[in-house]
Amino acid sequence: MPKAAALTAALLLTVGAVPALAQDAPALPEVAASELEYQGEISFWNTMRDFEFAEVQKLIDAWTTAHPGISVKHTAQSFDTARADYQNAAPAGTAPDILRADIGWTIGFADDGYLLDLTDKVSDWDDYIGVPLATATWKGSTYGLPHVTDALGLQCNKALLAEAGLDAAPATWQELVDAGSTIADLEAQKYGFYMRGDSYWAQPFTWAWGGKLYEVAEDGSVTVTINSPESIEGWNFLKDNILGTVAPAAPWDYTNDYGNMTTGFKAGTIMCVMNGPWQVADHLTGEAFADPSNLIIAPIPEGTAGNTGSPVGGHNYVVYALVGDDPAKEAAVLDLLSYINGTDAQAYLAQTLGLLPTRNSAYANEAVAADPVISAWGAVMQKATNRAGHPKSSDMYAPYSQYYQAFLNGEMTAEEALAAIETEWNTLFGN
Amino acid sequence: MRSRSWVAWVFMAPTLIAMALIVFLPLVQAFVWTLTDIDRSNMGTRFKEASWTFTGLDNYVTALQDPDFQHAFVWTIVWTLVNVFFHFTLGLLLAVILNQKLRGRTGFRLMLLVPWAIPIYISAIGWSFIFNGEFGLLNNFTALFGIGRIAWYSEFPWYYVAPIIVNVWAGVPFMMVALLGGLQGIPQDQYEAARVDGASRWQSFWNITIPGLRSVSTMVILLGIIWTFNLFAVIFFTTRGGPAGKTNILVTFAYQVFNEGELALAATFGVIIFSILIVFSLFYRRLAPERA
Repeated sequence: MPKAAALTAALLLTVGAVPALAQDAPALPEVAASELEYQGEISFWNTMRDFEFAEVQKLIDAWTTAHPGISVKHTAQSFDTARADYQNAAPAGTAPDILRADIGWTIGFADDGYLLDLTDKVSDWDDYIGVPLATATWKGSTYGLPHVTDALGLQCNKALLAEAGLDAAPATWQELVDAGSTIADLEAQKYGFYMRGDSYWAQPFTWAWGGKLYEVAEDGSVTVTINSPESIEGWNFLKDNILGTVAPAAPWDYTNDYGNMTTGFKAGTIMCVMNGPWQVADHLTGEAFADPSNLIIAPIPEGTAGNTGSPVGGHNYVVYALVGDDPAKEAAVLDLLSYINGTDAQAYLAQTLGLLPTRNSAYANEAVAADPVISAWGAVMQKATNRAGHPKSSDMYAPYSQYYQAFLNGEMTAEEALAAIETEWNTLFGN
Repeated sequence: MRSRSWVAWVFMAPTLIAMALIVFLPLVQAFVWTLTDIDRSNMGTRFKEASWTFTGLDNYVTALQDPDFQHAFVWTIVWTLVNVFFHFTLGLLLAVILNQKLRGRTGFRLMLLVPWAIPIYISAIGWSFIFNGEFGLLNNFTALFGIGRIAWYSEFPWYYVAPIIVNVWAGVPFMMVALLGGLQGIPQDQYEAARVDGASRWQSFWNITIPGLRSVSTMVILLGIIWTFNLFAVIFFTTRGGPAGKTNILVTFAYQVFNEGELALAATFGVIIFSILIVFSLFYRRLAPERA
């Protein structure tokens, strides 16, 4: 290939990798003037990926420019190791002042005493959407500022939907199976749907049939409810109707299924997948979505009448408890957070990165309200289910995945696998 | 003599102190932890009071009775034996071939060192592209032979076979190099004497080469067994211990338990693994004595 052509191709690939959402770059929000006593450094661990990190860095730079004398040490942490790193650093006194914590970690950290109680230090709690706010609340106090929220949604390829005879995303799982089987060719790796062996993706198959995973009472005690006829029905529907007809039969490659699902979807060989807003920017770089309007985002299909659900995820900004010992530093940290998590900043991140805001006022912003992708995700969030908050709620997925995979591989029936999960969870939650 | 022995202690003191702090103290602490129910939420930090209690040998009972532990134990033994067997036999084969005067044998020796030189987790990730169940290289070949796509990391029995292939590929060079060195230490006149006596090549191999390699083999097999028993990287970066925890070896299982915050149980696993290897090493020295 001639050098010039190769260079052009490389350049186009690089350009194509930039999220297509960042079309006209919006302006950075203004920093509110404020007098801060504190002089020194604020440390901030951010678990975002590179292109997201860069945008938050811009916001931080705007704030530090307006507040000379304070520097922010903004470091990128790998999401996979951040929780363990924080758990090691916090007791040792070396945890960062601010952490972008997954909602699954927040209550655990709060229960261990690592986080500053923000209930009385922040005044605009009403502006936050209820479900994300609940993920930062434990035993009546709030320990984090919700930053982004997300949920798994059904993302579909419009052209393949049309080929299957649908003009919109399927509303029920049965509809997805019926339509998908008309175009699926498992030998040729053309699928109507792609499933994962990860239990996070299995959750909708309990909720869409009217089941629940577990319930947390006011006093923190947990009732495990996953082992129910609804879950059994949902799991059996997955195994009997979806797998092997419109999606690959189990077992598929569980270790690499996320990557394979994304690759296939981007290449235009999978009609629908379940995935969250975090992957949309990457999907749009695929050849099937060169025209962004080919990507349809819809709520997870219903199982039985009116029932659906999708796991709400997201991240909160949490403050290290030791920051509370220094009132000047605390004021500076809260001021920084009120800027980078303020209405305008959330609207800014929504426009540049497609992240869903957690503030009601951010959704009222003109540009955000006009964005069709954000509106589509808004519809997904309406039907999303809150995972009940508990310090051990992140740890429930390991046994859940283990027995779910045993069920997929045919080693256990749905009844046996769900009973085993129930036993493990009862031990985990201390029942 | 006696008046000089205190000097020796003075010189050893810094090392002993460092080892005590870095190795022995944590070892003793981990052992103490195995007798308690300590986990992340009751271990006691500056923020929260400790609330763990002594529970005696409960952790050992729990661990040894856990079916996942038993499965991991059996699989670890199988994993170790199969890997070391192939490492040794293939290493010996390659060493014997490369010990002969071949053209370009230095080039072959260097090339064969590459799998060992590459950091193991990178090899494991690279092999994942070959073993990928949907788009992997190997599945392109199975299609040619009329077998459908195989989910190498999730289908029985391939999820046992795939990490073994990766580890054998990565570990043979070490054995090859060690045995090559051993081969070069065998006196050539023994072979000449054997040829004069009319011994066949197989006989001279069996009666001269193998005994001549005994001390090197003993050492290298012991190292191989201990390393493979504790080899975290290959299992973790290929099958991640899945599916459903079936390919967990003891160390990856201990890591999983540790990550769930169960510090006491994870420490118990560590002590059990440590004990197994110590006992094994002691017996091994008896079973495979050095050449008289």
